[in-house]
Amino acid sequence: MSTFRKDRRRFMTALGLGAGSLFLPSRMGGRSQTKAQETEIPTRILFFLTPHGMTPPFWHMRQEAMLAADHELDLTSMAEGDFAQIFRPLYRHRQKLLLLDNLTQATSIRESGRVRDGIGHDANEHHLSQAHLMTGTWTVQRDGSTAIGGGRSLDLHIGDMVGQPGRFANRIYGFRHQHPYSFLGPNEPAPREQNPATAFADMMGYLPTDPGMDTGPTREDLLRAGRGSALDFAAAEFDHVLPRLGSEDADKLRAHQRLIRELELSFSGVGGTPSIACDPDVSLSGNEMTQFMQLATLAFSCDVTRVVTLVARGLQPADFGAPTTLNMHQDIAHNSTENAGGYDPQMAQYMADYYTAYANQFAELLDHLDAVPEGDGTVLDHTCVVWLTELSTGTHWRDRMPCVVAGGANGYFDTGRYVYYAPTNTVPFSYGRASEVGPADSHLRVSLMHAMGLTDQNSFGLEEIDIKSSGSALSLRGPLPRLTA
Amino acid sequence: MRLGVLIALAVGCGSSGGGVDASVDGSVPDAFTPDAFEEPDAFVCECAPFETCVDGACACENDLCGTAGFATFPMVPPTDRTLTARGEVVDDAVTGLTWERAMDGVSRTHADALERCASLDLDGHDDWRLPARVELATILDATRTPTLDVEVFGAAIEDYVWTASVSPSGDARAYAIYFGQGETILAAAELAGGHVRCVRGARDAATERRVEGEWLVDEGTSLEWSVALEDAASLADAQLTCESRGARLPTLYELHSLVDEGAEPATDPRLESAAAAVWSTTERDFGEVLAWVMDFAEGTSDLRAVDQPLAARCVRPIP
Repeated sequence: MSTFRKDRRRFMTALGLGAGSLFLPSRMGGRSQTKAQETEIPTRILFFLTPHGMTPPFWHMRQEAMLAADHELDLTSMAEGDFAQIFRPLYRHRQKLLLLDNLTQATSIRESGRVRDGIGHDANEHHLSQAHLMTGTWTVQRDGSTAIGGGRSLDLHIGDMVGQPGRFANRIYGFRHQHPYSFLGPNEPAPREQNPATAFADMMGYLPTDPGMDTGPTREDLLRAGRGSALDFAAAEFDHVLPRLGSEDADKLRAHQRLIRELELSFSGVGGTPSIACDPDVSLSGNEMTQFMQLATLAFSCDVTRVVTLVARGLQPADFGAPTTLNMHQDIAHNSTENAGGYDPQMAQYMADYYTAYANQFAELLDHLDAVPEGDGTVLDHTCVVWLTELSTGTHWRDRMPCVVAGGANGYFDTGRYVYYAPTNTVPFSYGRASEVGPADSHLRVSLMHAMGLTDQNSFGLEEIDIKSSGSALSLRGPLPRLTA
Repeated sequence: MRLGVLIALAVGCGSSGGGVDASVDGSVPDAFTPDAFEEPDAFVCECAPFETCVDGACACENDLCGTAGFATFPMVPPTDRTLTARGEVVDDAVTGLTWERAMDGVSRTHADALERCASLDLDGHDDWRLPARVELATILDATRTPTLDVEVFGAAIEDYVWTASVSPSGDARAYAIYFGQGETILAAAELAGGHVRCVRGARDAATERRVEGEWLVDEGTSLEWSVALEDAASLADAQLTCESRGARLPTLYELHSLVDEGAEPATDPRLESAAAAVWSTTERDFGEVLAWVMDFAEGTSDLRAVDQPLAARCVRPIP
């Protein structure tokens, strides 16, 4: 276990580069004002990504008699025992949850068909899902290798839009499943930090040192020595941005420069008056996932970044009480749904336990965010926390997917509901059968952009996919319905 | 300890005999009394790999009997293979094996997989069998997906494929290779989650390995392995270490030939730190370049980041 304690003044000095929450409409492509902009507290987004997929009977709360129709449940009036096993750890956060049922990785499924038709060579469903989950576009099928993400991923795109000089556009923490989920561009994985101590040093402005040490030079120290002032560094970034701004925004940016200068001088002297929510006297403790959760909470409360992606560590059988002689992937995941050749009810139960363990992690993440007061609520109230699974099931389904959205995003989402989507969209599967499935997850990506204020953007990744059997196309434009307040 | 090397009265047992030297848990009995003979289940024979002990005698219930489970052919990299499609089969000129070209797409238990191959009548032959782990590794390309030559084998099923090799621990697990990525695992034999690709071809009896100085000599693969295990700070460090010994790091495929699935740990006990996990030079690009590692605790393989500290087992051609 690593524990860190940093003094408030040093932390805020390091934050001097990024303090404030300047909003520049001209960098946002001229889109209209949004809830995120109108509120004083910014909206943030956190992606929580877990491997494999859930086991259907153990997370379904849908009304089995109404599967042909959209329907929903009021989570706030439900008893804990009415929650499905996997979602039960989330019960204490039910008022701040949206449990989504029956989404479809439409672009990933369509790419399987393309590979079958000779466009590319890698049809491994893990690889395709890992590449599509955050990009929603065709993979790069690398000769002599594998398929990998083919476009800039949603977390980085949102970071581009809500970032500004002095604040990290995004941060990616956690572990490797196989391929990455986050990409700078086609076949360009984004940096991911696997060590909480290094991530902490990065956030605090320290160079990587012994996690227990508090003696390393700060970024501020180095900047002062090398450039005279942290502001010089920020100024260089501002100069890069200024020519692209309108006159009103340029004035705002110059005012922001003055603010940073004042903050810098203030922290150099008697110290500043940091926000009550931003508590730099943080202790990171517990396992790596817990430490990353604490880091994400700190990052949001101090406005170090507004976009975090947390890739969960792959659990092993011992982590959820299954025999250690079982192989997680082959024995448990691949035999966990009834359509699998090797279906075994015990393996299905283990797979449910595996995902219940992740649900406990997700609930803990919400606990951390909900523990920090902010405005008239908590950091969680102003954050959109999205739990995406690599696949729908351990047996590689990519339709009938679950998704959890928590936190409400500054009131953008209407939480406290279980939302079931009827299978009214046609998607061609790789073996030629066109099936009726729930809405494409591409629409969810649009909804998440809208929640973050990017309301002028109506698609992300592919805008449509063809349906070979009918000659028509499935539109992937527009947000997912029935989510907003 | 090799499964089956538990006792002593090796009456009628296959390869090598043995004295009264160990009990079931590996310790020397306090007293060896005739009463022990009244409990025959307490004793098993010292059997050769793939043989089983039945009523105190070794029996062959597996086509792999008579072999050591080791390669008797060079473990060449994918680029040097000589696989040729011929109708419904694929011939391998290096190993002398003939492969079923297409799999039937049905996942099975390990027992059903053995049975399917035993009953297969293909290409005018009925002597098909489930391949040994080291045999199946000769058609694996762990650097890419699909993980085998689809130009030769046709469409790939990117899933786990059973081998005839079983765990020495008696825990009902068998080796499978994941043709979605390339790793070798031990999987629960009773679960019907593995696919099947049958093979046929004579299996030569493995030559006896011998230690000469600091090297374990394997005539079957024409390789010799360093008995010593070298610590390495990274994959690059491991490569330099082996070069300084006048050798090189092995490929994943060569490491497969050093696995002895009949032993615990799963390799030759004359090797130092036999259970260690060691680097291979075979890499896989997941956006971050990783290298395959063979873990000889059980003879399974996995991918690791190349900057991790791990051990090196050096190899070189027999001079």
